[in-house]
Amino acid sequence: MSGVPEMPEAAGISEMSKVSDKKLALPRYALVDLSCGTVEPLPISEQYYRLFLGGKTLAARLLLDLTEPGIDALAPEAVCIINTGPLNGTGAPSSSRFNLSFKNVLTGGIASTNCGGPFGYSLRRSGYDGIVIRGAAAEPVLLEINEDVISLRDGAEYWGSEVGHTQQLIEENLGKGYAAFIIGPAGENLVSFAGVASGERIAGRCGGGAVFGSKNLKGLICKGRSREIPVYHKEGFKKYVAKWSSFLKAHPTTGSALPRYGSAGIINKANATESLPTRNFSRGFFAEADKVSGETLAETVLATNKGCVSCPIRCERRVRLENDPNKVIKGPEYETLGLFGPNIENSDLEAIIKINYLCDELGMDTISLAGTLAWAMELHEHGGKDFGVRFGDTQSVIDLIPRIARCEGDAAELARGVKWLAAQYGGEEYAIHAKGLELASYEPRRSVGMGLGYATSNRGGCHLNGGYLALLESINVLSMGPNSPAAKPQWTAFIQNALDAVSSAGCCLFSALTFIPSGFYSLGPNHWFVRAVNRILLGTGPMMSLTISLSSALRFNTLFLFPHAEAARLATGLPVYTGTFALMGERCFNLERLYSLREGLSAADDSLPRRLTDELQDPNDPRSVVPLAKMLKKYYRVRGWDEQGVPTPKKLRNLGIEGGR
Amino acid sequence: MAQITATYKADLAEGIGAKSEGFDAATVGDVLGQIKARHGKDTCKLARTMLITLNGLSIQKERRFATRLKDGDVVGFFPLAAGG
Ligand code: SF4
Repeated sequence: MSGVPEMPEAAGISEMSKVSDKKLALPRYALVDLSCGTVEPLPISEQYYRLFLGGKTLAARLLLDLTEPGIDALAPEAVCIINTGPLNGTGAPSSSRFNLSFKNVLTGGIASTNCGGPFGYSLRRSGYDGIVIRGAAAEPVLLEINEDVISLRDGAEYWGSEVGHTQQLIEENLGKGYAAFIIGPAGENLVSFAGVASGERIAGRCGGGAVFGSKNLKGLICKGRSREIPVYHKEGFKKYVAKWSSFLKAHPTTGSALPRYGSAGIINKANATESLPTRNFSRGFFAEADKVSGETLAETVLATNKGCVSCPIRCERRVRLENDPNKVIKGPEYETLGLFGPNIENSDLEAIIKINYLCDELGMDTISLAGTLAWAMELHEHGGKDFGVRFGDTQSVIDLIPRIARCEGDAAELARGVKWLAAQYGGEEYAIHAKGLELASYEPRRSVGMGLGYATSNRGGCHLNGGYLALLESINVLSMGPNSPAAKPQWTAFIQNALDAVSSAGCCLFSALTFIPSGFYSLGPNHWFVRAVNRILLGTGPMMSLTISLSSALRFNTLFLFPHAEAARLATGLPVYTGTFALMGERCFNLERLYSLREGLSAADDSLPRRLTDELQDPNDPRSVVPLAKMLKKYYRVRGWDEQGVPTPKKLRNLGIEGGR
Repeated sequence: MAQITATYKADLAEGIGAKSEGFDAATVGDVLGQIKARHGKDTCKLARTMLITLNGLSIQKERRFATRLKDGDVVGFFPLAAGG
């Protein structure tokens, strides 16, 4: 097997291409073909490393290189990539996150998911930075990585088992020390929104579990302890990591709110600003929201908080169920609380905890599932097909979930997601998705930049890949014109790039939440200075455009913007600065866009359901819709794309990604 | 003057030692003034910097501290920072 093709030398990347004196630790990848059971090295060139670093950026490049256009997401020839970034396992804060990229089962475009749990760390310690999988096994298999030896094991015994039971069986059969990345019954049955679990974390979105299932791959198990993780400037790195950890601990979001309330702390904020999806996104306010809030969860069922490896934030909730107080299980995240709470008109926290647990065990994405069920509830109210679920009735949901995961009867249709269902049964205007991926739990009619983000996110309706403007507009200390389109295209593009870069480095996106200065929190949202900043931000569009186009000139690193850039510089020895780091994120965003365009998506897919663009959230407020068309035009220009949303040759040249398939 | 209830979360609830209290107040600013009188300057300062809601909705949409109150209103004080 030859390596991936060399890229032409490009303008605009000279900083990343300078040769340093010490030897770089190039990433080590393996290509596994499940059809023929072979394992080969997949060489990653120095130029690829310098341009694409790792994680989702390198994965997007490899997906473009290694697959022919038009392959079905669940065909044997489809490729999935499990890979790490240079900060994984180094001890940098929140650096246990690894990436899974593949062809999106729900949208037909790209999918990349950033996942925690023990697997990424173990993979990196094993000596591999990435595993590329193609083909399909004839019988169920487990892919074993034991230090640097890769082999296939019979997976029949595990097939059919839920996630927790599979993890237990693996430990019983093979002993301790394996980190698993596995699917549950939903993935085996090709549920379009099945995920893949690493410990208690799940790479939930876009159907990666179905891709594993289509390959008869129950999962990967990894024992990695022997490799010393390469760090280029060891001493400097150690000192910087200590400084960065202290910074995270001192910041109100990462040091206080997330450890104390987890992401669930968003519920009351989103509700207060009418951006909490309620009744299938028909409203943004739920009178009983506090009953399912992070604060209530902390006061009632929280047992303890927990974190991924090397994370000082520790946002995970561990909760007790009322009727079984001795059992402590993973608690729900904000998205699950919002979408299985207010969005289906439910205020029973315990029921959401059960639903969350059930979905994790079956290996399903709670966001897509909840969006699909909310649509089914509304469809029935409009006189359409009855799938047996009703707003406010959680028992009907709990009963249906295992049937969806196992594709039993009618429930098999619900396993295909809301876009497919609406095409069969109607109700497209309230099928809440973008590109086919159900929206996360932010009502964009009170956070219009988030609406633009959803529409342009490469993987579909994802808040994080969408640039997470809700953070500036509605759920935190700032309130940057929630209904104003001003400067939103520029900020969306900028943060989309930044988050792609953070993910590619191997970090959790929550570690980027520190970019809002701490001082604002001591003033509060009603202080005149904070209000002035909100207004000023609406005028920063041209400045942000300039920042994006001249980013390679930003030759500095600071804890306050992207702490990850300095850590990546020290870990890799590459000249990573704020600007080159952001540029790498932009490269990633464009590569993913190229992949989706190649697979047939177009500007027409940068859209939102009519409920969000045409129906006023508040009939008395003409601004309470997402002015998508207006923002989209500007967004394409800011990105250097043509009017059809296609990156121009000049943009690709500047990013060093012209050529290739 | 209106008879209203203030509800507290997080550090504010801990500092005050209660999750709610009743007030006779005309505006949100009055409530803050009375929090200062009852619980001291630091508690009031903390309350001012929190997310403040009137019947669940942020007072940012109203007239902030000048927002007028009526009998039975609930003024909520929520921790501010959040993300995920
Ligand atoms: S912030 Fe939360 S999800 Fe992110 S690495 Fe830390 S514990 Fe894991």
